[in-house]
Amino acid sequence: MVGAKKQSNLITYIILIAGLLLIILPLYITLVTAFKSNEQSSVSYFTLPNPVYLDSFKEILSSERYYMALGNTVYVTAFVLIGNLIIMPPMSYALARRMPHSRIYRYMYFFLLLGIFIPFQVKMMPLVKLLSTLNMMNPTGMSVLCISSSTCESVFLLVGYMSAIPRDMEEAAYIDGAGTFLTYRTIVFPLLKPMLATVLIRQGLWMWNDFMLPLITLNRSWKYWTLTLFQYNFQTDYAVDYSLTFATFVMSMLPILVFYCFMQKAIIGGLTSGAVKS
Amino acid sequence: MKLRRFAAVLMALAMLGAAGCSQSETGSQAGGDASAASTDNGGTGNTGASVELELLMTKPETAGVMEEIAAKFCEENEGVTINVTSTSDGRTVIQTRLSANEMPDLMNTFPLEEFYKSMFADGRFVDITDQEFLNNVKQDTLELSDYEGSYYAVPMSVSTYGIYVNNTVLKENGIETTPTTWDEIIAACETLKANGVTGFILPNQDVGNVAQRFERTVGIINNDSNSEFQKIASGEMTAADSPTLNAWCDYNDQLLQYANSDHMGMDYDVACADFSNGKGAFMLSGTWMLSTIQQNNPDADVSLIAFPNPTGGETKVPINVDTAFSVGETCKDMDVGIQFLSYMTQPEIAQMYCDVDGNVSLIEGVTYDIPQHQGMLEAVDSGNVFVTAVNFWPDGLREEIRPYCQVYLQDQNRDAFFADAQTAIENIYNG
Amino acid sequence: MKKASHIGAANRQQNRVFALFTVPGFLLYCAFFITPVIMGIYYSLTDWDGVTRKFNFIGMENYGKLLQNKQFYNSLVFTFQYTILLIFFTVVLAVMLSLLLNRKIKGLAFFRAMYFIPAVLSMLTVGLIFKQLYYHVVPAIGQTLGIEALSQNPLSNSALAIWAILFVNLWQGLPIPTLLFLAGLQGIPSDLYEAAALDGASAWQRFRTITIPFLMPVLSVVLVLTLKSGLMVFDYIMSMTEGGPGTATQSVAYMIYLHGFTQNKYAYSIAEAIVIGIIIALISAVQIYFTNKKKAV
Repeated sequence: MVGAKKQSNLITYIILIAGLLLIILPLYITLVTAFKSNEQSSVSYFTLPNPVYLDSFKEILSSERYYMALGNTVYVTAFVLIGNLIIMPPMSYALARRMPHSRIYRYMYFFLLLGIFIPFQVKMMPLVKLLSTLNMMNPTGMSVLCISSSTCESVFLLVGYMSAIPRDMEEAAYIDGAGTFLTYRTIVFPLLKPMLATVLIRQGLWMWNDFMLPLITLNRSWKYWTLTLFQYNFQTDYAVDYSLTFATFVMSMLPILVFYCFMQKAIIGGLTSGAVKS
Repeated sequence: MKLRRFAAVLMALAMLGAAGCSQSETGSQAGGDASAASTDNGGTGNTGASVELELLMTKPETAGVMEEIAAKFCEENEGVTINVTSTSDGRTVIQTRLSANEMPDLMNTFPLEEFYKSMFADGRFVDITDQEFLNNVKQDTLELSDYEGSYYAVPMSVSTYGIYVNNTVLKENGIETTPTTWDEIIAACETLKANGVTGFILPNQDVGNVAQRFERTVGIINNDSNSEFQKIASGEMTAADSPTLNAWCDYNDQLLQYANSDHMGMDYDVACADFSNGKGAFMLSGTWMLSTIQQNNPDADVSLIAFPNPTGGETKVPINVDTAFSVGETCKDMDVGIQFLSYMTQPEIAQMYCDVDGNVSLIEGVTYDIPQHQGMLEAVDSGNVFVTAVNFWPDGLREEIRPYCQVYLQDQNRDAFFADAQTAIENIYNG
Repeated sequence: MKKASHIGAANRQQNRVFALFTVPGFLLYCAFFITPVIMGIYYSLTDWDGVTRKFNFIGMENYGKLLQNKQFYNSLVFTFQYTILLIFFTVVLAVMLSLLLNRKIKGLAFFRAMYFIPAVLSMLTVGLIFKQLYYHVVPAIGQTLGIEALSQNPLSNSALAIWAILFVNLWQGLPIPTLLFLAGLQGIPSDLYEAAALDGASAWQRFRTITIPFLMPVLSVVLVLTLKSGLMVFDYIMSMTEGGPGTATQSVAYMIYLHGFTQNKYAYSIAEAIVIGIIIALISAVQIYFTNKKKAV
């Protein structure tokens, strides 16, 4: 029995480590290529850089645009997450609880769900028209837009989760005389947290990494660029330089990786703390 | 608990971001104040007030030199600021800007292409027909850029297309004279093949490059390919009987024998690097590639020769207006906009641009001092050129047909290619 | 009597607060989501090329045209193939990984953290990195190991390109479903397994009768999200193959982009997008209906 367990643990390790290599290898190659000169890379892609070549990083780090893009990306991501945090949970709570009784709320829910199925291309150019009429072709405008675009998915996930939560605790609070808002804040919001974490992590990653929306709404000036846009524009200017290409990859991934290192426990914990109620 | 920590970090980040933003805003405001103040104090500014114009460059490789030129212009014209924006996805950006009705004040245009012509027709750009600076452009080539008798763009340079030759590779293999005729090129390839050296480097994974090669060389084979395609679309001729398409297939069948073995997996950037470093002798491309070659290998000994008509017919060099500048109809200050165009046509400024751009300059007084391209300069000066096919083809044909060209380069299946080409041509010409 | 009116007042108060909760989000959604969609639907009924100021209303002509276009069906076939493969591998591999990551082994936290890394990166960057790897590294490995199929850039092979793209998509797309399944697994009371083991149920029986039913709700979420990302795949195609070789990897989303932004057929491309949207909605409706039914059983 113990032997069998050991053996199956061994198999688990072998598979997990194989998967790990598969994840790390591309990242390893990206990293070492960025630290090699083009001549070094043409000899071998796998060896460690010798000597370490830093010119590519110097070039990126001396570009004012990089820092601007980083600032913009942080700004839009945080803006969207905060907007989501404020708007989506109460809305989903109201929908989940009123839907069984009220036709209006039911229609509203289906109306919100409809958005999931609408391809981005349908509204792409009209969006630009709309935003420019409202003078919102800037990071703040794009963030507002993203909050509204994220409504469908957030509501879909949160309402589904909320519906599965029994009402006992809320009822008890109401009977104790708590108002709706107080009940929401003290009872419902904490209950929603696991799914909210999933929603926010997905939204955050999407915002941080999105390419198409920034391309069409933030192309007015490099002062508006986000990291993906910076990487795209910077890299196509110097496409022939491998070292520089991979260095822009590294530098556009680095901030989110550092953030992830610090928040890793919270993110993994958030996603696995029973995000889907059974 | 976890969520709270997460939220706290978020808030901190948002504050950081907000701080960054407000900082940059105050920064630009301060800038605005300063320039306003300077004109108030001095009152000597050319325009009397401060203006800030945007110049959009859809040729990112020349964005750097345009920033220098813009800075110089601003120095000489007090109160004027020109911000250069560059993008490598020009079409998407322009289309969204049109949709938003927020065209840039100044931008580079390709006055021969359908997409830009439809914007000229729509009045998106200022008519500059009566501007004196058009006289700075070589008169015989100026006419290339007119749209129904008017000018909306001042042309700066034309690109030419042909075959880049890596002379070092040829010499190493005992080929002393640069081949010029089709047969000489094939003979050279045979010699190279015998020595185990790649003749042609063909980046066939890059569908954009495949499209361009198709369009330029079809034009060389038949300068009036458009009429032939019209016949195909109207049913007078089938694609399979088209002499032009057959000739295109023929020459590719030949070249593929001497191509790099991984041609279907290679994209343009890699091909360019390999060519620069002598991994092959020939590459089909245009004048714009030189700067990239030199970036890859400053010592590369290359020259650009005309692509000889593989059917044995007359050989002409395809040209296209590669850089031209236009003033948007919504330009914040027309006078300054026009003034900038005029500035670009001054010989010393045009020279600055030409030295980086590498294309043949159309501005009088600019010396085209690029030995690698001398053959092309002679072709342009002697008028042995034709305007490349894309300017006559209906918009979208190149994009519609390019996947089938790519498939042909992969499998050389003529029947399939002709069938697909037939559909593509019908789709585009017959709407 | 008094109590009833008290409840009535509380209900009214609740209704007011609930309305307050919903209205801002709803208005935002209408303004920035529904408005452009309606504008888009209107454009799809015109001949607008995306450039000129003037355009004509042409009714359903674009829709008629696209239903006769061979390219449209080709793209649909590729996209469906791709989506089915993506869903299949996502579900199988994510469940497998989540089972492994749910075992009580040393270094569990480390493995979980590492496995999530690909998910934080941008699709465009990952696509561009893999494009380089497929050109330089994969053929090198294939040649040393003597594997014929891998000694060329897989993206240049019509048959392999779809798998090459799928691999990248899974590499990056697996972590979130894996963690969601892991969450589902952690919700299973361990005494259920113990009781089943005492009854002599085999590992497979336990998996089928306990694990799978508990994972059903997660599955329905994962299915909707994967379905959508599969049917709208764009970034990877754009960064790796541009639809090639030939049209072998031309996804629907990429085709729409080509038509709208390189061929001046803007209105037509919106019509294509709308038709795709309807197809996605129908499939999702069917799929939600079935997973809900399963849940009820």
